[in-house]
Amino acid sequence: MTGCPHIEECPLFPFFRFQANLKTWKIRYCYGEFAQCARYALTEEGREVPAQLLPSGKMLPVLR
Amino acid sequence: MNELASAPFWPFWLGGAAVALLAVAFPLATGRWLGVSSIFDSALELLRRRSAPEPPRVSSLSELEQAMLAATEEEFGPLPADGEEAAPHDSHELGRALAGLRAPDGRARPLFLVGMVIGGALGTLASGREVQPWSLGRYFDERFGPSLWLAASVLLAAGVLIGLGTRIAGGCTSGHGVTGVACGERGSILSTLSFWGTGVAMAWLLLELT
Repeated sequence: MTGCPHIEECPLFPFFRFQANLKTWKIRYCYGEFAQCARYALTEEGREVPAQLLPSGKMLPVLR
Repeated sequence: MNELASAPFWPFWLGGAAVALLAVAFPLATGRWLGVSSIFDSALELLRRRSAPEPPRVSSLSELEQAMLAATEEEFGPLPADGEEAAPHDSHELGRALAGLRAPDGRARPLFLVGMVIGGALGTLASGREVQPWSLGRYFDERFGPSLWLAASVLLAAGVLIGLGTRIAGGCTSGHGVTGVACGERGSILSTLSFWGTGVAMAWLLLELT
């Protein structure tokens, strides 16, 4: 299945992959509109991706 | 120009070799391409993050998953009560992912900028040249006079323009000119041709006018 080219190095993807309740992220962003993913955008720009940044652009209120 | 041509610079090939070594060693050591303006950008990002409220840390996978579930509900609406079972967990992979989320985020990278200043100062001192940090050169002084304020204003304005330009272009001479061109990136080649070409044209024009 084609999808985001950064899946392998994305630390959030394993959670979207293994946790059924989180699969919406995977369908919507990782294998769907990955160009809309905030993490993808920063990676493509060569910028640092905050660990707690969700694909939607919101920040996960944990970590760091 | 004769003043520049007769200046006791180090061999050009030594500088080229040092830049090439850094362009290869930097991504090998840090996992990121070399780009000075990007490093500066990340330094500012770190400062911004320090002023932001510190989110709580997670201590376990389940805690992180709970936070993710809450974020998922917030984003996509309520989760079905009798949702599917989780896929078989690869705890090793999830553990690795959690470690990745907690990995150092390049806080040491801005030290590269400090090293650049120190390296430049050491190089100047080692060359034995007379140091005139506020002079923009004989041509400038002859035309406008040796005014500290004027030189400072020109340097500040030039710095602002360069900063804006590099962010608009998504990189500077190191990111585009060294790394991007070496990787054959079309955008970097165009950017380098653009800023190098306009730089040469402007220098030629100024020399012709003065």
